Amino acid sequence: MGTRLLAYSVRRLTQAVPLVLVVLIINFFLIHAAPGDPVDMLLGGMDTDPEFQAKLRRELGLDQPLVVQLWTYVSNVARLDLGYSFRFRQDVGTLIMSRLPASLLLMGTSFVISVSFGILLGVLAAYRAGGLLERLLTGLTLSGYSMPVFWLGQLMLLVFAVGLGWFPIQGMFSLRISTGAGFDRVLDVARHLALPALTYSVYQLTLIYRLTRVKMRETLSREFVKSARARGLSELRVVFRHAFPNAMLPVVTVMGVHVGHMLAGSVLTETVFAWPGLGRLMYEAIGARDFPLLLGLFTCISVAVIVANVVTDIIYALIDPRVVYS
Amino acid sequence: MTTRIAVLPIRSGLALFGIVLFASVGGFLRPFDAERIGVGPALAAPGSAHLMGTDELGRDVFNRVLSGTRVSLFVGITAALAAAFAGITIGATAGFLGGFTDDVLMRVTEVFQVIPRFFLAMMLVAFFGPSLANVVIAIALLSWPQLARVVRAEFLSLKSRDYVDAARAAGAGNLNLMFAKILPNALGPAMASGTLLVAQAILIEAGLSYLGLGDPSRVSLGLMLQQAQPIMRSAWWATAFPGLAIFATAITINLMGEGLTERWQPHAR
Repeated sequence: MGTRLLAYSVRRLTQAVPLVLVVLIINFFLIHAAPGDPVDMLLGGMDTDPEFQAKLRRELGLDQPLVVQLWTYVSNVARLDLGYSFRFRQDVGTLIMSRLPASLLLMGTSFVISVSFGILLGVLAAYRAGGLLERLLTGLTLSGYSMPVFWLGQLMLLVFAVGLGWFPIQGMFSLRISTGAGFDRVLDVARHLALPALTYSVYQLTLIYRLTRVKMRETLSREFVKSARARGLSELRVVFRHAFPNAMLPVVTVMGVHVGHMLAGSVLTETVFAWPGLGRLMYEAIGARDFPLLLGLFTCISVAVIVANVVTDIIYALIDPRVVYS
Repeated sequence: MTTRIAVLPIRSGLALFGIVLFASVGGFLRPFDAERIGVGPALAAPGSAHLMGTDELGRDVFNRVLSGTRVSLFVGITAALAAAFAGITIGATAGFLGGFTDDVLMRVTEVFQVIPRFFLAMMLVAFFGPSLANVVIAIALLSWPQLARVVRAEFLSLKSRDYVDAARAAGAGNLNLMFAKILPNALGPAMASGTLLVAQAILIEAGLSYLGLGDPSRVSLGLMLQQAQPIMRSAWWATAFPGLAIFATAITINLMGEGLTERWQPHAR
């Protein structure tokens, strides 16, 4: 089993490589097919002297044939060189790394909240199918699903920050405390984190709830659940030991498929709350038409999504060994 | 032979009709120019003169919401139609021909499904310029895989039915079989997921224009929400109403899509 699983993981990882290549080719295509000169685009329309432009053109190999350029680009990315942001006057890679922790904090917090509540509510709703709770939750999640996440964030701001004044409006720190350390600082960040994390959790929760409910309902009507009941097992045991693990299998896969969707939500959430993470960075890059930064972010996000898909598949194989053998 | 006619979810269908009607003729209630600055005082609260108040430049929020809803519906419907065209053609070809063609087409579909859609749409619009046409193309380009999979699955199960064999024996060609014989029977599920695509497209468009990637020459609900954010403290209406319009449109279309899904793919729910 161990070696088979390893072989399976390696196989899945190698399948991911062409996908990453496709992303890089798309990037390359964007630079070259979009209207305008690549150098102008990389400089973000900034005025620079023609000598510098010519130098850059040579350095980037723009006087070479396209295939050579593509190769240069791909090998640069492979060496983790994502280019230079002329707007921020910083290396794209460094810039991304500096914003990553804030994004991870927001996404991690929301992930824990939405997975635990989404699954719990989904199981409850499926168990009492047709009941009041199910109808209420299904209605609410359909609303959550049809609502732009950034508008939800704005409503949260209107009610809880502007109206009630419970939470700060934007950002991650209060200027007052930003120099301080220790518990005050943690508390300060937590107060700033509350609204964006709640907004983003609602957005993810709708998805997880809907999935869990459908799969759990399907599973609860299967024969083995009936037979477990017939054997006189307690309801708690039937639901959580017999039905739940089986229902979770497809939920894991589908969640992997939706990683991209979830990341999109995080960009919009961060923008609303001026949360200093990758999403906000992307918004700034769009505003400044900072194309090297946009390309770098797109590469990182796509690679993250592709890796997340592979990881989900491997987790799936860990839970359900049948996958490895087929 | 009885023909099966898609029974539309009546209530949500009527509601959608209401939204379309309101967006098109609602302007007669308070005929202000949605683009004009200073049709009223700046930051006026909702009242009888301006039903949804005015923004910081004295533009009428009500008329802007109507105008933005028209753009949202236009983008949503055109993008979904384009995606449906591509998705149905590709799904039908893959499902009907099977074998190597199916493998190749499905690999391409998978690639498009893994690459994060919203971000690719952002990139396309950022690089090629934020015109309405580019927004529609970007959304359509990223939405067809879902539909292709649904149509392919239908074709896989329909192509081996007796009536298809009978038609083939009677001399029907491949194109005839695909589009005249099988497709009509696969349209129900395709329509159900196509409807959900409209709502998704509307939400993607709203997100893009909120991030500053909408067509700047048209009033769009996402852009209104972006502009409303700095004046949130003094004008809640500038945030509340445009968002409500997106929400109402998207949920109506989603309800309709769910109704259609229940009708055509009861197992998918």
